[in-house]
Amino acid sequence: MLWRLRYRVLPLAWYEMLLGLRSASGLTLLGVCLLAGLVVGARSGMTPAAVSYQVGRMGAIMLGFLCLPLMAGAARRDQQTLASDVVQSRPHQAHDLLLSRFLGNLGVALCLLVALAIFTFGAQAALAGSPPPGAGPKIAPMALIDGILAGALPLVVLCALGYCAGDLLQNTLSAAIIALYWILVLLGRDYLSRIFDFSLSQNAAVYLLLSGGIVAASMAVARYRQGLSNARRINVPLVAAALLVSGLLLAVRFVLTRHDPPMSPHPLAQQVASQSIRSGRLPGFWLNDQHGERIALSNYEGKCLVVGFWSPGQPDAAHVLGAWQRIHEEYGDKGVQVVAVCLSDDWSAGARFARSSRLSYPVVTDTGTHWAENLEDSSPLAEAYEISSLPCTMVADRNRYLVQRLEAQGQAQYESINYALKGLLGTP
Amino acid sequence: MRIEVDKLSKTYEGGIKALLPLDLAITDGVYALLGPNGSGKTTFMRILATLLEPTSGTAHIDGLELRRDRLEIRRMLGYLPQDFGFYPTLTVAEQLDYMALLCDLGTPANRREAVDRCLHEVNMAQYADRKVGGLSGGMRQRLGIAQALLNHPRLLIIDEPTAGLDPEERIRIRSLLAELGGDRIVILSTHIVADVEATADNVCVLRFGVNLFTGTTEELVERVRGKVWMMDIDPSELREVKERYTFTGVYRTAEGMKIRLLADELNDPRARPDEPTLEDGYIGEVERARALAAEV
Repeated sequence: MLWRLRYRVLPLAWYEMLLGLRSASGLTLLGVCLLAGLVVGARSGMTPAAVSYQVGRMGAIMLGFLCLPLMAGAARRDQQTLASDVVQSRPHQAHDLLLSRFLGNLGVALCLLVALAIFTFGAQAALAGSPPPGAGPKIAPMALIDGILAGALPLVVLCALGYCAGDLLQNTLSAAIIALYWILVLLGRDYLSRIFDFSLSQNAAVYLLLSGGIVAASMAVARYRQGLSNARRINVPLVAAALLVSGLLLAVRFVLTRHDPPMSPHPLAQQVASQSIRSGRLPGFWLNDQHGERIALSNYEGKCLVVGFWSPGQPDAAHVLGAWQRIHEEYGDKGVQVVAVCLSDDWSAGARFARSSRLSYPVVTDTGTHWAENLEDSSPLAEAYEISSLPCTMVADRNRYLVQRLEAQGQAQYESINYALKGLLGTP
Repeated sequence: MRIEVDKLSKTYEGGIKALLPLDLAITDGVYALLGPNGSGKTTFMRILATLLEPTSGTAHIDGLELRRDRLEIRRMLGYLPQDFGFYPTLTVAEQLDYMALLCDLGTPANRREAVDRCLHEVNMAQYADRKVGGLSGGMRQRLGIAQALLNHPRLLIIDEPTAGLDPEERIRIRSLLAELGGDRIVILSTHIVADVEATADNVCVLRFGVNLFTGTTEELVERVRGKVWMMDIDPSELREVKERYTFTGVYRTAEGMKIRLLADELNDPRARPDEPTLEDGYIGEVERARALAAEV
């Protein structure tokens, strides 16, 4: 096994990667992704940091999708270069060749992703300048890494799908599958994009298993087609079946149990959304913080509350995490509790920010967040708190009644909260 | 080494019969398949190279059966198709190393040794770092032969190696092929008789999937001994003579035109018998089959 990997699979994968990197299609793809990221990501009124974040994130997601045709093309390279007969007449094992070629082309896609990351990091460093006062120094790169990572998992999945469809099916059929996929994802909006959302890092297990299953199943088919299949050697089809079945079971479980309004309306989410801040009292919630512990506002009875809303998808808003930390350090022992609410369907994204910035106050994630035209409709808590822009901070008194609603950025946010708390606590 | 072909036939989808049941026995040496385009040479070679399933019949290569022992046959096989390509962005050495990996040659040292040996055999060592996409037709063909030699093949199948090459490259390829014989079987297909003259010991003439002749090149020549004539004619007679006889050559001379033709008897005072060549033998066989088919 190791011998095969070392002297057959990996060297072939290396050559496959060379072939992909030397062709013009990779660079073209990168250019298209950056351009698409710029068009989609850069909207008026955004700071350079936000633009570079959006370019990185959208570019990474676009790259994932565009890798479908890239991989399908790579899978048909032998036919295009007329190398089929020369290659097929060699005593290679078809399933090893498929695995090496898939790995090599996945390597090409990952290289493009790294190039995209380097480019957007460079752009951010050049354009964004120093972080705003009060912001954690790592917030901007963290947001960018998060954005790029959002594209990495889809990339693996789509590469597996693209390569295997291209290798096993005829060009027309694989093109039809890819086109159908595009239509489903682009037109599906909430419902279908939810099912096909590979970008959620908590979906990694499901989709990595499914990708492994697709590749292993393709290897089994390749082996069968080469006429080398026999009853004693069924390990590859077995592995493929096991991966596919476990991936599918996990996927079904995720779909059924997820806190997701359009697919499985959760009673708790409905209850949260039915509350309103218009009553003057902060709506309650019960969500997981960065350590996976359930946090409820009722835990902090008798304390003044600072409840801040942010999203990893908006690096400008993410900068306020630093301001809230400062408030937490200064007022934590004076009866003030800071709670940050991350609006993201990916719990691990919020947790990653909190851990890497060493935030010592609870950062909970409203995983009921979903795509919506207006921010207010995008999550149960955003609806209950009537959030129309990020960052947004609510300062409440000891009885949870809203005292002030603040929508300033960075240092201004700190100063506004500081001012409001001084008034509330009666300190000079 | 021995190949035994037993009633091997191939019918493509749509009922096109590319190869009618063929029986052959091939032993060590260079074996040429000669025939016009579309005569089933490539089909036969692709079947032997385990790339195409025969419709019926089988072949045994040193006791290994075509369908059953595909991988074992490929281990002893070197194959150069008629229309082939490589990956244009790899260098010559990288491309050969890629093929060596497909041959399971193992460690990098083993592969490097095989690549160097093959590059020297086809006289391309100085082009090792050149991109495959920038090679001329002849060099590409030599690279094709080099990749076929990587695994010390005991069966070498080369399909139309000189097609589309300029005369200089054609001669170079022929001399290369002539060196490849020895203790292996080389099966070479061509529609150019001079290729066979330069390289082959045995020849099989195919036409429309039918085996017209199998034997040594000398035997093929002997089939038309006494039937080859040279005749000086006036260019205006060419059309008339062409309809009556089978031509094997037309040459312009200072006085007019000289033709080479095949005929059992020729009662023209201008005609004189000539020594037969392999080309005469080949055309004689093809024409004989055509005449028979016309009668049927």
